[in-house]
Amino acid sequence: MFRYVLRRLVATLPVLVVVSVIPFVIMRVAPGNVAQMLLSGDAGGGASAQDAQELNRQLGLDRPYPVQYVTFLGGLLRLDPGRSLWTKEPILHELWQRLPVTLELTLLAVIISWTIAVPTGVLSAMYQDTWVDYAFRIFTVAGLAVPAFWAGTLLVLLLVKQFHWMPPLGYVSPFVNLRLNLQQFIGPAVIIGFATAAILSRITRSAVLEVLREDYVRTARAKGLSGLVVVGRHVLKNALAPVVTLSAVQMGNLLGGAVVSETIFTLPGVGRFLVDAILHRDYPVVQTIVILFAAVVVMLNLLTDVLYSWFDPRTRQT
Amino acid sequence: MAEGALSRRRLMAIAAGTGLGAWAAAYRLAVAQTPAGESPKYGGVLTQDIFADPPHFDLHQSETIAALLPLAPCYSRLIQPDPFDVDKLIPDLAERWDISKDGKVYTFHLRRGVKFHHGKPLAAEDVKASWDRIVSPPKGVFSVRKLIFDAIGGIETPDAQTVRFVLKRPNWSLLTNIAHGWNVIFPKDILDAKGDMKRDVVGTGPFKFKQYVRGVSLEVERNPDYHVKGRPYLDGVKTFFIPDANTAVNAYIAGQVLLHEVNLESQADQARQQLGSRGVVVKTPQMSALTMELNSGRKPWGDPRVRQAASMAIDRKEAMQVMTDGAGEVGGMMLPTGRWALPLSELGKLPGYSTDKAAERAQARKLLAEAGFPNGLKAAMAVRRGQQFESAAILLKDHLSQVGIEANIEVLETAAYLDRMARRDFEIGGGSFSTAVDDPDAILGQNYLCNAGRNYGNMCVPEVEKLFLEQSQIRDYKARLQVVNQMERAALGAVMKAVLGFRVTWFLYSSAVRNYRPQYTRYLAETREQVWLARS
Repeated sequence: MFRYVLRRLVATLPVLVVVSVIPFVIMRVAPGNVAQMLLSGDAGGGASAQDAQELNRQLGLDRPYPVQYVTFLGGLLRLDPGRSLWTKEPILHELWQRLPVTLELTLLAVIISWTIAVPTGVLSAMYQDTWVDYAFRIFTVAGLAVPAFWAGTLLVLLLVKQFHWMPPLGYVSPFVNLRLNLQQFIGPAVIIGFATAAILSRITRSAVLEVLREDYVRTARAKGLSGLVVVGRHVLKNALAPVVTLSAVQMGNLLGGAVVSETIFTLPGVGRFLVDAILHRDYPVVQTIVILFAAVVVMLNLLTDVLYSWFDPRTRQT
Repeated sequence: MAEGALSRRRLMAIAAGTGLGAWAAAYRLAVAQTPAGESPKYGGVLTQDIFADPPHFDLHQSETIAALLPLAPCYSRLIQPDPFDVDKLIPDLAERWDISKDGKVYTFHLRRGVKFHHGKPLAAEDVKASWDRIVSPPKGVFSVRKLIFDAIGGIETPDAQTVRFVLKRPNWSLLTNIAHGWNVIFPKDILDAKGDMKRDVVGTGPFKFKQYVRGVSLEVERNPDYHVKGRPYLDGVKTFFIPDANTAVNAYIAGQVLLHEVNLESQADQARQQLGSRGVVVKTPQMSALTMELNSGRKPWGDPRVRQAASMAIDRKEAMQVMTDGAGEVGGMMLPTGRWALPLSELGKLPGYSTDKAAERAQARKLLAEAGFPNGLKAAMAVRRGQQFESAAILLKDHLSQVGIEANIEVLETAAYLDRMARRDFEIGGGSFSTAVDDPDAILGQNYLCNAGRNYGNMCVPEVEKLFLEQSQIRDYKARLQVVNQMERAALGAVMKAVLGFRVTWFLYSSAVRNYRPQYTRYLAETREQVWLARS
């Protein structure tokens, strides 16, 4: 088992190296630079080329690309990705401040998605091809079809139009004021959770349908167990494995949803930090966040595989 | 709904005499001044919003309203525009000032008893240190507006309460430009110790820094030692950073933000319908021009006939309809409702401003043929991303095609657009520029002179350079206006920029806000010193 985990860990390293190169190259190929943005502002620009050149030099952007890349990677290995070119603040410090927001948002979104997906998926399977099934399928297709930015904007608009209320601006820690915190997070978490639930619900339905046809389920029914006990004790346990796997894979989508929702609901999380950094051409911040997101997704996938191999040793051979 | 619109009294008088009376009347005064029978109340926090966080706190090195709006309440300048009549200058840190007869020496006498927020008393050396870095910044400091103060030769401090600006030549715009919101006074000890104010907010303003939560808000609180007795009225000002325009207007409707600005009439209408008498909407012309830039460094745009043909192709009235919901005003180099603009009747004689578009477009085709393009020409048009700019680009493309110029639109996000413009790597550019004040030196100095940063078309018109220096040194308003008009004719005749018109903004604020008056620019600094809330 240990060797298997070690092998998988080593295999993730090339992935992270490739992931570190991609945003580095894309950001440098993309037109625009942070010096020009810092000097121009919204009044229409106007910084002289000499000033922009000098600021670029101060920021270290006049060095050859390989030097910039190696410097960044070296810093990252020492867990110090440097300072933001836009704010000059240490990137780790900025991330540390914003990480709790994104973590809470994704955690709430996962809880909401499971709360929606598992019951709807199971009920759809149990009542296959009835109006219950159709209703939940329409519900889940809607979740797949509606983009998060649109749903978020509509939700805020609805609250404002009907109740002259919207989630309080800013961020309050749940340890300071839980009620206020939930008011801030419930909207975006529902938007992301709903979108994620759509896929999970469909997977749950398929998995439950497959298990329902198994012999042991038929045996359980033949023993006289009630439908609820059969599903709860025998079906769910065996059907949820692919749902757990997909939840891990869905982490990328959750983080993507956070990027959009944090902007609409003005939550100061990592997603909004990333959007701002891209717009400002804040290279090291974009690189760090992309690598962080990639690492999270890779690690969750690894964790899923490890759990799988623990349950089913045959997978270790593949 | 208490609806109003804004203009300035002086502007009204000028506008009335120049045929702009009807338009200016539509922007009549509507100020949230203290109503009769009410006396100012102390307390409460004014909430406002802006679209982004400031990159840093050093206003001398900044050119974004995202820095100025939240920080302005913490600072003072030497002199400031009257918040109720921005064309009138009133004392700030300088209680009075003298100008020598030849207009080359300005002496400012500082107030006594003024303290910085960190306790140090204000002295002339603080003013000198601040102004030295604006006029001639040391290495590593980027003073983005230094060209406007090119006439300043040196700054002297004869004593601790006196500052003297010695000019290389007379400059009658100096006081107006000194009063910009950006030109705040920093404490010399912090500048000496740290080299900049990127992380420090220490001024002498009515409010002092309280808290900054990146991505959320910046909060300032009442300065109990403020040098103006009895001010400010508010306990504090909190600026939220809201990147999404829809979220921002919703926050205003929901009452989380008491003061907000929108660029679209539809959003102002939404707020008006939702809030009724609990909100105020004020429509205000802005010192912000929408332009079509033509790069003279790229063939064939160096040929004035080609530039004129492009300008003549554009129907500016229609452009304003599309770009500003019909609320903007056609204009030339200067703010159309301001003190310095050419009257519309005069503008009509310049290329691109005729009301007979069919005849003007026929003339444009002739000019193109004379320039060697009888069958028209193709060009790339770089456009900044954004609803206003993108819809404008489609309209410009359509209008240009009517004289045979086939423009291929390339939409670029702001960073890419600014980079291309700065490198002069474009043929046609669709953009905009804003200026802090309606003043010839500020507008020309930043946008039209040979070495101006925003002279994207890379145009150098000797007549404009000569007239710029001439007008700047004329004290008499009428005599100066004549030269400014002559300069505007020269610049627009050469099509240094094809100016399409000027924007309008809708200021939305709670009916509880008192003593607040929206201005034609937000860059004059809104310190909120005089603002109070009828209910906290």
